Amino acid sequence: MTRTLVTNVAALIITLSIGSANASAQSPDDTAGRATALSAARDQKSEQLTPPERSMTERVLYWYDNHDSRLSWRGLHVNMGNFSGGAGFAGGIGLTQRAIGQPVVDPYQPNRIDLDLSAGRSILGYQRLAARVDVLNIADAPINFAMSWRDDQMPQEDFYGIGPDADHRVSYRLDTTDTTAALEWKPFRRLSIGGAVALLTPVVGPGTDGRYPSIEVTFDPASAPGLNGLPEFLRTDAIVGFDWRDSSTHPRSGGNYQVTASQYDGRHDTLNDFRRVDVQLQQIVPLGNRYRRIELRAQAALTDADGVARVPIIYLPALGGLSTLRGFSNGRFRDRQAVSMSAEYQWEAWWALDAALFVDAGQVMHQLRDLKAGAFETAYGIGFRLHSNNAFLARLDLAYGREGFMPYLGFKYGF
Amino acid sequence: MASKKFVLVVVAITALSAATLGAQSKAPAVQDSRRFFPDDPLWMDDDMRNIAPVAKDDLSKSYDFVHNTFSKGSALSGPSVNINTLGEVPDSSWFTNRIGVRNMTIDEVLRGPDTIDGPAPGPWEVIGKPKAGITPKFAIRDANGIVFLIKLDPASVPELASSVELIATKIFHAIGYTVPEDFIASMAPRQLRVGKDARFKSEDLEHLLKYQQRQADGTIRVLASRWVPGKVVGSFRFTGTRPDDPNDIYPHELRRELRGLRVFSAWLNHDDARSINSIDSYVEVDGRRFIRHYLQDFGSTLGSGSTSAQQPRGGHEYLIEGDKIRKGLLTFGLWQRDWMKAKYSDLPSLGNIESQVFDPATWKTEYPHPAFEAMDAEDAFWAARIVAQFSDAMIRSIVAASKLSNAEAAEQLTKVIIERRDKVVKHWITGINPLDQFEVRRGLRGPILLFDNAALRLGITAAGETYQTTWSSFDNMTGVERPVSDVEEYSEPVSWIPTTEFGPADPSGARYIVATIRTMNAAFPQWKTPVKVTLRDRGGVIDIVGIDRSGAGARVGSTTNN
Repeated sequence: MTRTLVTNVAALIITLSIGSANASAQSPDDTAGRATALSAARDQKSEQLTPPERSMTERVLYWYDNHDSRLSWRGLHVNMGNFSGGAGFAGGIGLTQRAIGQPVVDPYQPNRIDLDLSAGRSILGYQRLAARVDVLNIADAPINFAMSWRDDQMPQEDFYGIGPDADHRVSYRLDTTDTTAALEWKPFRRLSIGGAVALLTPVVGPGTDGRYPSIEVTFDPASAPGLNGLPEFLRTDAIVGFDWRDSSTHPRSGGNYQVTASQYDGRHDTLNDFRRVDVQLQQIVPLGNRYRRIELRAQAALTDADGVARVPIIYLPALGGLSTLRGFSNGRFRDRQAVSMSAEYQWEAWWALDAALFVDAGQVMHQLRDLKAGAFETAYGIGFRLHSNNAFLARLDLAYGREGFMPYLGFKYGF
Repeated sequence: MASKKFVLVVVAITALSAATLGAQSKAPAVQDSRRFFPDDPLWMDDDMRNIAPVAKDDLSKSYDFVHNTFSKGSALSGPSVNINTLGEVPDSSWFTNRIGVRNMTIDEVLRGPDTIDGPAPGPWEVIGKPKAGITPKFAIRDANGIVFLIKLDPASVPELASSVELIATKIFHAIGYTVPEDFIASMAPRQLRVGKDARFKSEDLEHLLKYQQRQADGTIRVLASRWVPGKVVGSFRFTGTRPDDPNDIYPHELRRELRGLRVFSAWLNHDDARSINSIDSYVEVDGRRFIRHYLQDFGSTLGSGSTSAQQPRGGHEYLIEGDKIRKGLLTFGLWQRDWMKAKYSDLPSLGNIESQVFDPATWKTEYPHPAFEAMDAEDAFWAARIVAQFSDAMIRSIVAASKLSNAEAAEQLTKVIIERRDKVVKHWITGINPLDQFEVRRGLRGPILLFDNAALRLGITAAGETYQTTWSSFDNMTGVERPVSDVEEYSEPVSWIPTTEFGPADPSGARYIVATIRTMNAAFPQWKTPVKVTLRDRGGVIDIVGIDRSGAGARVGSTTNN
C-alpha cells in the first residue's frame, strides 16, 4: 500500500494540466516537456507494482457472485415450514426439481414433470411432510395434472365454538393425511377449468396448548361436530377461474375470480357428508397509475348438508387470519356460512416495498339469511409487502380488531 | 481500495497544489514551477507503453453494489487531473478524441469501431456460454474464425436490447470511448453447430432459441458483438488505479472521461454504467503490449433493461435511497416521484424511454457511482459540448442502423434521443461560463483573440450578453499574473491582444499573457466566473496554451441529493 501511495501521489502532482515542481526539477531545461514528466511518473510506478488485492469483504462477495446455487444445492433448500399462523417458529427442508429429465427449465415444455418434497417442524410440535408431482403441458396442450400427498400434525389448533358469538377458546389436535389428484385445463390464457379428487383422513383429538382447555373439556360432539371421530373423506372439486391480473404474484391491475364447488363424502358414513362452495373475488383498481391502487376482495364459503348430516368443525368455513379477517386469530369464527371482504389502499413506498392501509369485515352465520348488515366483525391495519420487480416475496400485516393487535408474517401473496 | 491514510495524504497534496495555483498572482516566485511546458497542450497521453503481462482482476458485482451504496467517502474528490492545459482529454488507452475535436461524417459514425462487416455467413460454431451478465447469450466462431458473442433479445420485447446496444455502441465510440464491434445480424438456427469443447449442450441452445421471434425468412435477429482483441484481464474500477499497471497513474475517479461519462450515460439512460460493464484487455499494438480499457454491454440503455423493458425507476432513483423510502412510507402515497408520472410508448421495441420527465441533473445509475459523484461543472461542460456535436440527422441515421422493423418505433426513438440530447446540452452547457472555440487571428491593429459562446451558438440562449476582459502578463516560472489592462466590455466575443505586455520569457523562450473573460448575462449569474485563457508567444507566433475554467470547478452536486 505504501508503494501504491507514493506512486499515486506522484501521479497526482504530475498532472497534465498543472505544472509540477517535481517534474520541473527533473527537467529544468527548455527541452524537457510534460510528456517526459509523465513518462518519469510511469517509470516510477513500474518499479513499485503490486498485484490487485481484494479486501476480505470483497473476497466473500466475489465467492458469493460466482456460486449459482447460493440458497439451494441441487434443489435442496431450507424453508419456513409453510404452517398456518400459531404454529410457532418453524423450519424445514425441501427438495424442488423442475423439469425432471430436461436440460433446461422451460415453462412450455410438453409433459414437463416437477417434483416438490418438503418436511418441516415447529417448536410447538407442528409437523408437515409433503410431496407433490406436477405434470405440465400434457401432450403439448394447456392441461396440467398434479398429484400431492400431505401429512400434517397440528397439536394445538384453536377453536372458539360455532357461530358469530362463540367465545370459548379451546385447543384441539388435528392430524390429517390428504392425497389429492387435480387436473386443470386452460382453454384460454386467463380462463382455467379444473377438477380434483382428494382422499382425506382427518383425526381430531385433545389439544396441547396449556394456556387453554382441551376441546373435549368444553365441547361435545353436538357442539363440535367431528369430535367423536371422523371417517375418511372423499372430496370432489370442480373449479373455474378467470384471472386477468397483470401478474399473479405481484399484481398492480386486473382481477381474479374463482369458484370452487366441493362435495365431501364420508366413507362408510353419510352423517358427515356435505357440500361446500368457495367464491373468491379480487379486483385491483389503479389510482391514476400503477403505483397507487385500491384492492378489493370478497370471499364467501358456503356449506350445506342433507338431513341430519353435520359439517365437521375442521371443514367449517372460518374467518380470522392473514387471508380473511385480519385482527383475529386463525379460525376465530366458524359456522356453516362465512362471508368476508377487504379493501386495501396500496402504494409503492419503494420499488421493492409496497405499503397498504386495509379494512377487513367478515361474518359467519348458520344460514345465509342470517346475514346482518350490522353484524360484521371488522379489523383494520397497515401492511408492508416486499417484492422484486415482478414477484411477491413477503408480507407483514399489522391488524387491529376488537380483540386486540395481531401481527401476521406471510410468504404467499393473496388469498 | 484506498486506505484512509492514502486518502488523507492525497487530499492534502491536492489542496496544496490548488493553493499554489490560487496564490500565483500574490505569492513570491518559486523556482522551477512552470505551469506550461514546451509540449503543452498535450494531445496524447502515452499510457500505451509496453508492460509485462498482468493477472486477471475480476470484480465482485455484489461488492461493487454494497461498497458504493453503503460506504461513502473513499473516492477522491477535486478537479480532473488527466486533462491537458486546454481542459481537454488527451488520447490514451482510455479515450480517443473523435467527434469532440473534428467533424465526423454520418458514415464514419455509423462505421464506428467496426473493422469487418459482421459475422460471416456460413456455419457458426458455438464455443461456449459466458457466465457474466444477465442477457441470454452464447459465443460463436464464424466461418472466418472470428469470435462473436451472440446476444438474444428477450422474447417479450423483441428488437429492444439489440437496437439500444447498437445505438449506444455507435454513439459511445463517436464520443471517444473504446467499445466492441457490434452488429445486428440475422441467424438461422440451422447454421449453428455446438462445438466439442463448448461446455454447452445442443439442448441448451435449442431452449435459448425456442421462443425467439422469427423474422419473415425464418431467421432470428441477434446482436453479434465481436470478442474484444487481446486477453481480458478484468474490468476497471471507477476509483483508484490498477496497482499492476504502470501506465495507469491517474485515480480513475479523477479522469475526466470517466466523470463526464455521467453526462453521456444520462443522455442514453445507461443506468448500468458500472465497473462490471467494462473490460480491461491486455492487447498488442505495433509491438507494444498494454491494457486497453473498454466500455461494453449497453443492454441497459434507453428503454431497455437488458432482459425486459427498463424499469420506470431506472435512471431516476438508486436501488436504495433511505430518505426516499422514508418519505414514500410516511406520506401514504400522497407524494409520488416524478418518474411515476412518466408516460411511455406502447411499442414493445421502444421499452420505457421518454424525454419529458428526464432531468439531466438528477439522473442516476442503479447505485452511486464514484466517478459520477466526483463530476464537476468543467467535466460536464466538456461532455456536453461533445453531445452537442451529434446532429439530428446523425441520430436519425444511428437509430436507422439499429434496424427496428417498426418505422413508428424508430421515429419515436429518434425524437426521444434528440429531445434528451437537447436537455443534456442545455443543462450542462449553461452550468458554467460557456465560452469556447478560442482562436488567435490577425486583426487590423494586430492580433486578436476570438472566442464563441457555446450557449448562443447552440441556440440555448438569445444574444444579449456582454463580455468583460482583462489582460494580465504571466510569468511561467513563478506563476505570477500582473494586470496590464483595464476591464474591457464588448458585446462581441473578441478582444485585442496587448502584444507588448507578455510576461518574461521562460527557459524555452516562450512568453505568456492571460485573458480573464467574464460573460455578463442576468439570466446566468454563474457565467461571471471567468474563463482564463493563456496565450503563448514563441518567436512571434502566438498560440493558445491554456484554458482554465477552474473557478467554476465545484462539484455539480451529488446525484444522491436529488
